[in-house]
Amino acid sequence: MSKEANDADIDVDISDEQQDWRFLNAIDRSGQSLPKRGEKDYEPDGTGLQVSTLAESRAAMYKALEGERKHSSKNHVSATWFGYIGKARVDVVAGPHFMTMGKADSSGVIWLLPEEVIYLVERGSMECWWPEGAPMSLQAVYSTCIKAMGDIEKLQVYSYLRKIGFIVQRATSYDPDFRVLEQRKLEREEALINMRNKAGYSGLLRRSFLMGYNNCVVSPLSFISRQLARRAATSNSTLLWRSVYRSYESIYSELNIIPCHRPPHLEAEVSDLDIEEPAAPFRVMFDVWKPGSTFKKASPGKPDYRIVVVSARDDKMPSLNQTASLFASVPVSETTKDKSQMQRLKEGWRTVILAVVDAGIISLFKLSDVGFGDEKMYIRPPPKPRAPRTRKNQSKKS
Amino acid sequence: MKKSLNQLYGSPLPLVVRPLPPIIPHNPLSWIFWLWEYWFPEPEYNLYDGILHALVLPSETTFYVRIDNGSDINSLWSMGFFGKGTLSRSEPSWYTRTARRLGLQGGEQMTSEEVTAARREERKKFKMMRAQAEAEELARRKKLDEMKEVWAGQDSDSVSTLVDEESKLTSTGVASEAGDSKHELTRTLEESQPAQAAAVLVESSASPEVSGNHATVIRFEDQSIIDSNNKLIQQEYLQLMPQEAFFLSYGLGVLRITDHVTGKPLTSEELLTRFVSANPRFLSQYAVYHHYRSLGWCVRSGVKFGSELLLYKRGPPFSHAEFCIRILTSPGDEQHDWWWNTSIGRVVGGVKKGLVFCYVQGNDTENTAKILDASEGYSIKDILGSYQIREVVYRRWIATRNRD
Repeated sequence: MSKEANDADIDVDISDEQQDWRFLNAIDRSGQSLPKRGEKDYEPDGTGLQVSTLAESRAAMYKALEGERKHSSKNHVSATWFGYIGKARVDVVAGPHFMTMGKADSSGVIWLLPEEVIYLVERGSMECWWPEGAPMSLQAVYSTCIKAMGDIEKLQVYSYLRKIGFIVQRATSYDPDFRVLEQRKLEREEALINMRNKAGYSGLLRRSFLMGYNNCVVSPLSFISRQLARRAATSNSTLLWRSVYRSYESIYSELNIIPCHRPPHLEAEVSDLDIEEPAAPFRVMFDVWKPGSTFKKASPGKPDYRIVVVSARDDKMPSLNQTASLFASVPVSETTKDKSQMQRLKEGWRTVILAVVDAGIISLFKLSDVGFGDEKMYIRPPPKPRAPRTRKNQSKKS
Repeated sequence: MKKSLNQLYGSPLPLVVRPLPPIIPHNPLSWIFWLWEYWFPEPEYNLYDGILHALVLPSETTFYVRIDNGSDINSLWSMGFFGKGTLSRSEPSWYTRTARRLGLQGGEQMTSEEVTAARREERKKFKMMRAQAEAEELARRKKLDEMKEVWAGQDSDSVSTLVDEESKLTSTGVASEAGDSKHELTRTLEESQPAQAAAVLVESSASPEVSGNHATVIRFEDQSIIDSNNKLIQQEYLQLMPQEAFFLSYGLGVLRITDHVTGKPLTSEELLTRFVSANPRFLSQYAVYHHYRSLGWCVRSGVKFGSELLLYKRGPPFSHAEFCIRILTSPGDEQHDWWWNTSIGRVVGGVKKGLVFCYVQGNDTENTAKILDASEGYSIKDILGSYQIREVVYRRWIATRNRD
């Protein structure tokens, strides 16, 4: 899909639409590429064409469901659930699932977390056993694993993201005793050392220089003549008081009196001094990678998204302090600085995704740490009709 | 079109800027000229007049500021898009529209309301064409059904033609043809320019010379708004939000506001006293307004989109608003539930704007008390500087669209 089309459709959720199941037939025939969806009809129009389309679609769906699901003995996976540690030990490892799931201990035995157990059992990929040697029923898996997870919302978010293809791992901050901010501080120091080595420090210096730079041109006499001018005219205390302004930039910089938040643009700029450790539920629960990524369990790299799970009924919107803690617990996005001004304002420098769950229905929000104070709309001059020429002339003049 | 917009709305604020003259190194005269301009600038400023009106109700008092002078109205609108015309959608255009209707002088310009009306007309046409295309398609399908019935018992030859026809319909026919015609229609709609259509509309019906073929109806009540020189009398004024009025008078110092009862000009402190007494949240609301104005945004009320403010890149004639600002005071009213959040998010997302929660930290109660208790002096700049602003953007995230 082209980038533009993607942007335009970004708010359309495919799963909201009614499926035309005939596309399953096309899969059967060609085997490879996904077919296009048909046009949606809104009401019966009484024609034979519509009736036969519907019948075909229904038949295709049944045919797809009728397909026999086979387990080859080569891919047979079984695990044993150990309630006292809340994990399942994989006894027979097979198939592609363990590229992205489970964690091996020092002796090479793979252990699965409860959400992973449910996911694998649910999709028929694994058999789960009690330690006593009896097979666990599906109901038993659900009841023990959900209990081990604490609540059902996290599980619902995990299995939703897994089912649509994402690679999902528990974030380290899943553990409420883990000090996220301390960890982030260590990472930052490392990043700073790396940056110094790469001599990228000049960028940081340049920015702090620009922040202190004020291009306001003041003529001394206009300072004296202020009483004759604006203030005298209004006989009033006003914010702007000079009789003459040489540029709109100087006006705007004098108007700038309200302190505002400036999100860090680089890891090295992060200084979360008085920020509290994020508290549940506003802690990152899952690290998520896009389906296509070359994910390695041993060195997963930076996740594409970080998911916080919230219950719609029990939790309200995070307060400012909670949001600040949450942003402090994630690293600065490396791609933001190369984006356009408008995109920087929309996507922000640090992002977290909030999964709000109400009785199984998951609503996702992207929260972005943005800084309007850093983006001066007046700096870019209004677009001129003959842009390249006039701009050249102007720069010569000034 | 764009060029004339730049000419019409060149200044982002109602202030005159005097750039220093260029220095030409080989021309000493230009040095002297530069020095003269640097040391002895001619003071240049605009001063507009506004009147503060109070709407006194038993439960509360609301203040609003109105601008009556025609050239002041034009300047405040065209330089920064301040205020709203009381008889128009936003830009005060009643005079133009009415002058055209009555065939008087001053109705030559095209107004934004007319551009919108022309666009609505285009859309209506498009929808009619689409309905017609759909009806034709339905008729075709029904005819096919009839043919099927008639030919049901006939020879295999005609049946095979029928099968051909149907497969055409089902495989490529319906999907692509119907789709194509829809795309075609959409494209026509996108390409047609409502502004041009409106211009044609204006040209044909508006200018007094041409209006011969378009009879002007002057109603009885119209006579009272036409003066003896056959000119239309302005009935519209510009109404400013309290934030806009305070920004223009205190922030820029270009608006002199007079109390309509006493007829005396008000100082910034007097004006602020009235605004904070009518609205205990005025200070934090103003701080947010001032913040975005000082960054170069054109800021207008966002009441139509369930939010406090709208941010335009340059102004309404140039583009749609980019952001909706919802102000949350922290600590205080920041912790809303998710139902509240999605109701705003869906409205704002539906009109393709960004939703910004703007958290303001500051003590309205204490600052308001300081202002109302005039015994102690205070600096407005210091009070505004005690507010802290932080923005968080919320956007609906659709997992299936972010898999790449």
